[in-house]
Amino acid sequence: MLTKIPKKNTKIIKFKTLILQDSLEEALLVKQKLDANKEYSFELHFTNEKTIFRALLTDIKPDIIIYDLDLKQMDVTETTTFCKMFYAEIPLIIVANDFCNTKAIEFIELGATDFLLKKNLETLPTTIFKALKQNKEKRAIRLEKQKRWEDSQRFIGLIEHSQDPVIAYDMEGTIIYVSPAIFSILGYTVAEFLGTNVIDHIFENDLQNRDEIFKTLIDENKKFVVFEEERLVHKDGHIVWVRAVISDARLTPGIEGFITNFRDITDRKRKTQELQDSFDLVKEQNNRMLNFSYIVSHNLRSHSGNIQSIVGFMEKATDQAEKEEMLFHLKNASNSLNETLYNLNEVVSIQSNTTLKVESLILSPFVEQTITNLSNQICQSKATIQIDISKEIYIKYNKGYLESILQNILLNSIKYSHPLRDPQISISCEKQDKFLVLSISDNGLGIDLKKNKHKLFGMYKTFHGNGDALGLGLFMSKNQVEAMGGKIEVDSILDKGTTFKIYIK
Amino acid sequence: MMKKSICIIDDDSLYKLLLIKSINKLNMEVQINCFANGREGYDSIYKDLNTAENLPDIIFLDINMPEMDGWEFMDEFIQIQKSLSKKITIYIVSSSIAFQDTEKANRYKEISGYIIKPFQADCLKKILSDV
Repeated sequence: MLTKIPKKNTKIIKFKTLILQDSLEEALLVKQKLDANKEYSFELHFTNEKTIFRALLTDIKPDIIIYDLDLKQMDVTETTTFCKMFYAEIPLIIVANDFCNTKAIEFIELGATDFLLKKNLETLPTTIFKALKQNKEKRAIRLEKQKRWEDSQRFIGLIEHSQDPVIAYDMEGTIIYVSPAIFSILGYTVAEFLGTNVIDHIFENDLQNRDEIFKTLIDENKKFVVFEEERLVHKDGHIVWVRAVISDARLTPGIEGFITNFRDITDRKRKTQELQDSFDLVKEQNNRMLNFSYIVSHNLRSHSGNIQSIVGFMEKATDQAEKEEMLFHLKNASNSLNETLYNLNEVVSIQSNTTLKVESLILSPFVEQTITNLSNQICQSKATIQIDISKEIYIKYNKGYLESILQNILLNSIKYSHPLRDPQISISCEKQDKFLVLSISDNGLGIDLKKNKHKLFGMYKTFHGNGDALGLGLFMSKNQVEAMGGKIEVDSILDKGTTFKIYIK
Repeated sequence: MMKKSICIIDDDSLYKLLLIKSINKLNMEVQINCFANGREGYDSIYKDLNTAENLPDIIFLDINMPEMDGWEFMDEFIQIQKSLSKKITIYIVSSSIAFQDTEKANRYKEISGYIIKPFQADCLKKILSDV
């Protein structure tokens, strides 16, 4: 067994004691009582004058002050108040002849540490020791409090000066704390934001996603969850992209709810989008170029191959009739080659025309005019055309392209009409994001998009086995639409009909 | 020896005419059937699925054709290949020299070769003699 043996304290602690008495005799009485004590040692100072007392306070820095309640040469109340105010850490012990409870309490309230009757003066050392110990504890508590206050000020400073807002809200979502950075991100002042509900600031399309992630915070007992991208609504209504972290603070005193801190990523988001857009553009251009080089290579080679064969036959031809025949084929082949070159040149001129003439057009009358120009074909096919375009819609487009696009699609609808019904074509227009979408729907044969979607707008592709189809119309239209910064899409159900959508910038 | 049967599926009529001429010049006993696109070629084969004597020994198949192109023809052909009463050898004959086309042809084990137009006489002769 281990027994703790107390170490003998060899060093005698000297307490600097300041005694206030009217006379030296009275002071010596106190000294006598203190000297009788063997455990502690006291270094004694005595005065009965206010100025000397104050000088001693700064010079000797006493550990303890003992003074008489019945002091005549000094004001006891003033002395007590003064000591309390400027030397609060020094214990004040009052000695008195009589003991009066109310007076004792009065002085304790003023700042005295303890009270002692002169007849009990022998207990003075104990009283002093108790008072010193008490004061030491008080001081420790005060220092601790001060440190805590400084710490909390530092944390508040950190949060309040951060550019990333922090909000705390209760279980219902009511905001109970928000840092000032909220203003620079959502436009609200702290006062405006406090008391609002956190849900009201989230873009409604993101609420469901938030609910799901929030549920994992609760159900899986996580400390925090991260929203890499979330949309909030600014005070003036626009969308702000943020990255948010929600921490569970339900058990944190003073919060009993949740803490969210977030960072504005709108700028990053915008830059990423711009990068994506230019990437898409370059990819699209590259695809078009690859596609075009394939077309060029294939279409020119098919003619040159034939010409090569014909020349081979001519070289080996033995009779005049065969030579004549080959010459005839050669003529056809060169004509086809010429035609292909012409078509390819058309495409190149569409794709490379950067200074295309663009004018303001009123869409509705322009469409009507185009239909009037096709009235022969429309009448022959017994087609009915319904136009539903608001009179006020203006577009900026190249006249020739728009006419050619409309003609191509309308003629397509007429050409591939269903044998069992008269063609019905409807043309309408609506706004969609940054585009104006011109839709042309028919009730014709339809196209099997699963099989043919990739070929629909290709060059020299035809689907319906129609003899006079060249496979150029839609290819040209697509190029023209794209040259104007738009796109063309198709929807179709076999045997029901087809809808072409032209996106106009 | 039985008369060899050749099927040409191509939309370029001038090419077909010249190819027939080349084949005839080889002085071999061959029967030639021509189709303008994959659909027509497929329908004819499907019709004679069980009649071996009407099926071709060789198909010269183009890639870029209207209505049904060469690849679509291949996909349909693979579906019925097992039920064919005769082995048919298929060659792609195209003017395309694009990498993606030759690669794609390589992936079909049913395709025996890729011939780039114009169809050279000695190449034609070799193929016909091998069958």
